[in-house]
Amino acid sequence: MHLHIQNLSKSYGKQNVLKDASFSFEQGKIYSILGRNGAGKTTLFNCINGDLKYESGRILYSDGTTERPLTFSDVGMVSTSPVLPEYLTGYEFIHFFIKLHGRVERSAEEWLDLVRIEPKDYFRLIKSYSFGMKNKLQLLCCLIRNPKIILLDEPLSSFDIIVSHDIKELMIAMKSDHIILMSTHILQLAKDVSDDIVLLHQGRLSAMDPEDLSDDKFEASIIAALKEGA
Amino acid sequence: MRNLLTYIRIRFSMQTNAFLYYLSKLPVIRLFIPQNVYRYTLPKILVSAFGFILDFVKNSLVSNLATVLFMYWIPGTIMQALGREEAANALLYAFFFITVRCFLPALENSRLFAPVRDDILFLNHFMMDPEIWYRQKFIKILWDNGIMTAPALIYVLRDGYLVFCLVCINLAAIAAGDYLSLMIFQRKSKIPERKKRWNVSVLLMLVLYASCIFLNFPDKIPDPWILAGIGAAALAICVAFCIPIFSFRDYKTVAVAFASGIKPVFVVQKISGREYDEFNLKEEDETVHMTQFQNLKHLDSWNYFDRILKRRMRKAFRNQIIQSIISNTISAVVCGLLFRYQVFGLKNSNILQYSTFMITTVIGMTYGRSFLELCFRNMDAPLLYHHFYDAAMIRISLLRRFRFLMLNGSLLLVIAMADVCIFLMTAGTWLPAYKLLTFGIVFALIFFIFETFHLIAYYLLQPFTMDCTVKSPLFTIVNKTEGLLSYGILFIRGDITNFLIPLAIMSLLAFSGFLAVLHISPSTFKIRT
Repeated sequence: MHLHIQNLSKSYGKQNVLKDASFSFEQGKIYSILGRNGAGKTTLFNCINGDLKYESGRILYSDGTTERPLTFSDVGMVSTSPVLPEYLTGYEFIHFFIKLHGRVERSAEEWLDLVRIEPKDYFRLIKSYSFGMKNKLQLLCCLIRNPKIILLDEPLSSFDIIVSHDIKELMIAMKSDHIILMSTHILQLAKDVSDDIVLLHQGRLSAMDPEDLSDDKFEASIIAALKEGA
Repeated sequence: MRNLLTYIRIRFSMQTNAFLYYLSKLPVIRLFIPQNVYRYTLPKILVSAFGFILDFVKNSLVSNLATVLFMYWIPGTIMQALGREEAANALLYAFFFITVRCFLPALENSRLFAPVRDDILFLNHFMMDPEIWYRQKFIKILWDNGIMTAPALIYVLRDGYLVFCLVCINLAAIAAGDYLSLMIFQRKSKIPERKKRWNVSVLLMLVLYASCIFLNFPDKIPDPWILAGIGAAALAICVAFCIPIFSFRDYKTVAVAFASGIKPVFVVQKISGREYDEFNLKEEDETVHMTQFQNLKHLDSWNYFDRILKRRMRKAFRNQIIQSIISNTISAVVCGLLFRYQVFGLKNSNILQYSTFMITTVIGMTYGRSFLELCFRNMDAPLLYHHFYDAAMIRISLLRRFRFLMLNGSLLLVIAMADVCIFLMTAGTWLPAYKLLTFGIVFALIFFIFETFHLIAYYLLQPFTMDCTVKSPLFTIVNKTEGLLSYGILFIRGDITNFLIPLAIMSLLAFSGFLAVLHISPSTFKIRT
């Protein structure tokens, strides 16, 4: 299973955010997309998720034999700002969510336990949840939908240390069946969980040389690459 | 439709929770509401069942009353006024059903694209597949707007075959209208502006009603087999249009364009993200920003933001005024005709008894609340967040907004008075000059009280968080009370000039409140967390 991005271009007015960006992502790997602020990481994710139209290029899903455009069920995105119904309790939301998506093999309690939402918080309104808890729910929604391609936009920035650790473990456990793309500014996270690091710089995607990922050179080589041409 | 019960439960669970939440914020009452109140499911299931039945009855009633009104009552009244009662027969009513209730709504509004709250709830929050969601939505549209009009048709026509035929034609019109919109969207990535379509369909409706002068339909209803044949043909057309609607694959794009967020804008209505862009609020070219900055950089931050906001919103401001003029003129003409032809016992002799309707109309024209929400979204939120506001600037902003709302109120007052004149002329009567002057003063006081009240509520309660969610239950209660008050006035009978003294007293109170808020606003005007 592959996700192919071919010559993707997207601009806002005169500002070209993505310029002929191309890359192939494969199943079983976690990719960290690194780039400076405004480099276009969220734009890239929105294009893949179908939320943004792009001027040219193709985004294709390949199962090894055939290639086709992505469908809604192929992709799940966890955005930085959670979008949730504020007047449902966390339990109700997940209970209804699994019903609507037909994922009733686990109970709502089991799903909530997966992201360490405590039973005492089950019946609180989502509007009273902290930002981190809302993010957990959103990530959980993505897990329940179980799409082939998972896009995580700044996934761990609002989680506490314990949940961050759990989510990292979860991502590593899930990766064999999925293609996971994660945008982050946290270099340590990128290094800990990613199999490959992809730089989004000047509108183009490029893979970091695996040799540069060794401990001593890691940070310096990324900064050098992102400064190049700036 | 297997998810129908879940949809209903979600909708009503949210409503029940929101109700309990607001109750839990009220003094005294909150003492009786336990912390874990949201965990009990039985009350929510009962509310869901009750709410569903209530919604069903309400929707059916609205749909059927509208059908009776447009196909039967209006043409019947016009025929009566023209002295052509004998020409008002079943086929005439069927003609008006087909034109005014089937084809004009299909032309005016694509029901599939029209954003509803459920779109956001289920597409964004519950991540439903847009293809599944829009197909289900379309079935609901066919049911609500097509099949549910049958009781009204049976009541008016009392002929099963004719009713069957008309329901099928309605279904075909709905399907054709949405198919057309879908095709236009596919080709141009947008659909024609709703306001234009509305104007065209209102104009056509007036032309159709005017054609009552010469419309003549035979008294005899066609044979059942002809009606059944037409119905079957219409049904086949409906199916033919439904097939591409159901097999359409790109509903994700439709969802992104139309259900990405129902955004309140200056015009007091909810619009889709796509229409939001049509108001010229989308991202502008950076050169525009640069030129603006060069021209206005001498201003302080508040004035700069204020000027930019008003420049960017000018189309919306203009639309608001035009919308007021059009809708009020239509209302004035229709109400004038009711009095002229003495419908429902309305007569020129009791015209002042019903003048309280004008209070509700004028309250409906005020726009302080929408304007201030817009100010928060585009200006106050970033300024407050980045600590640009100090005590002096908060007071200055309050005074300038007061001036702005009063100036706009003056313009709306002129429109309201013009509408009174149109209404009186259409009704074929007139009022003494001193009465008209008192009307003007009453309207001016209403504008003053309500716009000042909106300002006071905004600066005193500042209800919004950074993401523009209302966090003040008191603000919500105040708004609902204002809505109920406007509605309640409709039931009061009497000359509105009698309201002059109470309104004058309320104005003094509002002004005192304004002065008090001017004094304390620096400590109350903060971002809610």
